[in-house]
Amino acid sequence: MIIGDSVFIKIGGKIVALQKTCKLSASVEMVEVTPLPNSEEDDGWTHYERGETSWEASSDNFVSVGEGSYMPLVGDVAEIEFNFGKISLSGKAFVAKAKLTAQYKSHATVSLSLVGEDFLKLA
Amino acid sequence: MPRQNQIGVPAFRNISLKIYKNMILGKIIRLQHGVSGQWYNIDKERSSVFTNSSNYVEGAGNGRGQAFYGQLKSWSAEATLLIASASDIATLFSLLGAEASPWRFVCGETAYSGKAYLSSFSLEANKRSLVIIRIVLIGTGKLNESEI
Repeated sequence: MIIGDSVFIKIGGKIVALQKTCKLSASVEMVEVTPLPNSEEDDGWTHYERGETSWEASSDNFVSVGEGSYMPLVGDVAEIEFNFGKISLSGKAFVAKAKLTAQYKSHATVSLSLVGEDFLKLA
Repeated sequence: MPRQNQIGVPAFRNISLKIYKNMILGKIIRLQHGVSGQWYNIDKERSSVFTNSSNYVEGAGNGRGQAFYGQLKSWSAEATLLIASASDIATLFSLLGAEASPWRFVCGETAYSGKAYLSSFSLEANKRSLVIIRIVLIGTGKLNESEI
């Protein structure tokens, strides 16, 4: 089994500092192509074909101000990379949302939402 | 009257999910699937698509559409997987953009099989936890039921 500690999101080749969680979602739009009722192909079941593919990613992080730390800005187009040991998924994404939370006497956190700009590739 | 029909599937035990022949994706910790039926109304416009419109009007007598009802069934499945190795990620990724592939669900003595698209996968990596992937399958065409 893969433990979450070994999965990181990289932006621009650099690991986003102090990550707590990262998520990746990819989906394909389903286009209904059910044959017309009483036609020769009609079998009473719904039929689909695949449409467009899209993906998005997000990560929750502690805020770091140390040397070498990296935090993207909203609007940045960044190269995203998810590493799973020998395999990685990567692609270009917009930083769509960055939510900073600074609570009194607590660690400041930032949540990033990224939307895939082109295809996700496997390497 | 248009109506919806839901066919429930009993709680699963000893579930396994196989794609192609022997490949098992990680370990399934939750799997649900169901078949839903939908009633539709074939109105005049839709009927005219597959009947000659002039004949249709003559047949209907008053020129108004005749209503038909039928049941259109669909199925889908959702599974939560613990990923055993990085190659499972590669398998899922390749399925996302692929044509519909055969899936099989085993529930005790009964097996359900049909062709489905991998509609979405969602990966979550929490530090110090196992990596979890949620997948959604959208069935295309018939879901077959058979004894094992």
